[in-house]
Amino acid sequence: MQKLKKWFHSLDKTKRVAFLFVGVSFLLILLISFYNMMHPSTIKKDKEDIVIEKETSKKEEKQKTDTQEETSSAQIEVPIENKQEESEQTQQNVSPTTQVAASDEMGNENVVEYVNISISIVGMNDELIASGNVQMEKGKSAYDALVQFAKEKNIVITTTGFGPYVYVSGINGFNEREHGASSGWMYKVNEVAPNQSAGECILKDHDQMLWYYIYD
Amino acid sequence: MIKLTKTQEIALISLLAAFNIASRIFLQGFPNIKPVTSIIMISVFIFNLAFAIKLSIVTTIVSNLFLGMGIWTFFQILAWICIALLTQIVVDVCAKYHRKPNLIGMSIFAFFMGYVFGFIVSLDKLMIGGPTLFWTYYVSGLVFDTFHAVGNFFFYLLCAPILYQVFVKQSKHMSDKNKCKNAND
Repeated sequence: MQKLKKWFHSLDKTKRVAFLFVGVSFLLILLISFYNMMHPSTIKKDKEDIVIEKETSKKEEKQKTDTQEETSSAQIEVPIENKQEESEQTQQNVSPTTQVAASDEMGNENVVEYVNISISIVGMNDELIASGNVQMEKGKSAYDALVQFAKEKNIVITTTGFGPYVYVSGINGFNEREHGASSGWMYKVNEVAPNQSAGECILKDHDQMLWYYIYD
Repeated sequence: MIKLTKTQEIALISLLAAFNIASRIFLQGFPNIKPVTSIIMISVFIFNLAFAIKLSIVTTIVSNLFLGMGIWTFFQILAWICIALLTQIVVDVCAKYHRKPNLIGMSIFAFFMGYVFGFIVSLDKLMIGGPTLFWTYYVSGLVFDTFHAVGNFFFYLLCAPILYQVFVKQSKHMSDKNKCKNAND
């Protein structure tokens, strides 16, 4: 340590300043990245989750009388390739959303528009992990839909990054690079792979989202 | 190493920075093939570390006014300062053993500086998205780092002898003039 101190004092001024600048900036970079890894944007997420939970509980009470239970039980059995049945599902779900919007207008002053999205997650060998519908606020991204869906179905997802930089590295125990170097999760909206991150892709009403696992 | 007065330093920094900025803007079509890194390394050789750092800061800020400002401006400055420091260390080691660094060896050193630059510039993704995004970003950028490295190699080979001769000759000329002036006074 003393040797280092001596060496540092033996340098001329510009070198000292340059070494200090480089060292401090690298330290800052490491600190900030460690902080981001430890706390992946906790505050924002918590607030959103609380709001979503409140709204979903309200909705569920209103919808319990309706076809909700039937659709959810039917959806699990439906294979994703079957287009006809999927379109039927979406038609079924049109009526509940409009009802919810209407009742919200009656009851509360703040009107929140909801969109209906059908999600299916396919793992290895075309094995269906889960499928179903999700209701969420208008203007949310594909990633938000996946998170909400996973919460409802108790599926574990692991992610890195936040906002538009989010990256889904694992769903239900299938992680990236586990089955070959280029294996990982991809997604499609209406059978087209968007050229965007899942955090950036805004979904519209009645979009069909498919998350699938690619492997070598 | 050439010692400069304040005025000469400012004039030379503006000249070399203008060359760097023009090359960065003009060579936009060729990915990463730019003489900026080589020029900064040569300026560490011919002048000193402080000159190179000032040159890199002026180059980055002014050229990014044209090419786009962002968080990467800071990381580019940091990368070029790191390169200048590494070059200074090489110069010091050579001076310790009373050797002049040869051209081919320094060109190969410039080749590796391309990868150092790429690594430091992609560190901003480590701050934003964690190690996964950083590695994907860095690995997908390795091809462009190689372009940068190869460009550095050839630009160093091309620029170092020319610039060295120009500046050393000019500095001798200038110092002679100064002596004459002093004698006349």
